[in-house]
Amino acid sequence: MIVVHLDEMMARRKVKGVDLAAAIGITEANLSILKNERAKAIRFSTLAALCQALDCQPGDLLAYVPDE
Amino acid sequence: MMISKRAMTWMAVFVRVVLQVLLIAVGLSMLVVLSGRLGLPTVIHGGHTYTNANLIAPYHSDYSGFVGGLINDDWVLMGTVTLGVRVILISLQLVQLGLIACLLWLGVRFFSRIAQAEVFTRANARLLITAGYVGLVNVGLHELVLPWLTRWLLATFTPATLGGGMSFNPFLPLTAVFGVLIMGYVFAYGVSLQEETEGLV
Repeated sequence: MIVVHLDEMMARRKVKGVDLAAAIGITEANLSILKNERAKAIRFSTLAALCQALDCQPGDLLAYVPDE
Repeated sequence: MMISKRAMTWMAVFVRVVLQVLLIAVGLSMLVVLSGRLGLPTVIHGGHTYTNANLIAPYHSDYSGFVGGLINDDWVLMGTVTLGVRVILISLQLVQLGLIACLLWLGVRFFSRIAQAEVFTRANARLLITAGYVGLVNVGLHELVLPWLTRWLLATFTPATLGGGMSFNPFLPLTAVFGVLIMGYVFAYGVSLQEETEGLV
């Protein structure tokens, strides 16, 4: 499964959800879905905007963990 | 031109009410037909020709009172209107009205969902596809099966026979039926596409 490390990255960069959502142009509701790993897919454009806003790489946000 | 959600809801409610009224009318027609008030275009019996006769009074010269429905305009019944003839013709009309009632009921359900802003759903796609196939069966029965079956049943089991022309013009109803079927499959495909993008951020 894919694990999302958005929470940690936001804490590290000291960014609030509302600000990040505004910066990357998605709703807070969708950012929450992404943070809580309820999203089934992510657009490249959203991922690129997240990387730009948080100054990181896709690998810092997403990780693959083999299923049990 | 964009149609507002409110306007779409009102239009759907209007169509649903019209279909419900038609459904009630078809239901009443079925009851009337079941009680024997079925219109016969022409009856030739005992050297006399009677037009616009109905089954309850087969040799009456015209309609009086409420009659369920006129069977095919081109048909001419030759011979005595026996109980067997009545049963065959009433059954024929009931089958046709039943299929029409089924189509109207599907339409009512479809527009009820539209009125509740449930448009591109799997249930609506299923309703449209079902309506398309019921319509296809209806066209096939009305244009091909029932005219031949009725002639054969009357000639085989009753003293009466059916004359008059056989018309075959299924193209307009077939166009409508295929329109509904295409819409149903487009809905189903759209719903699949929608489901694929659910949860996409």
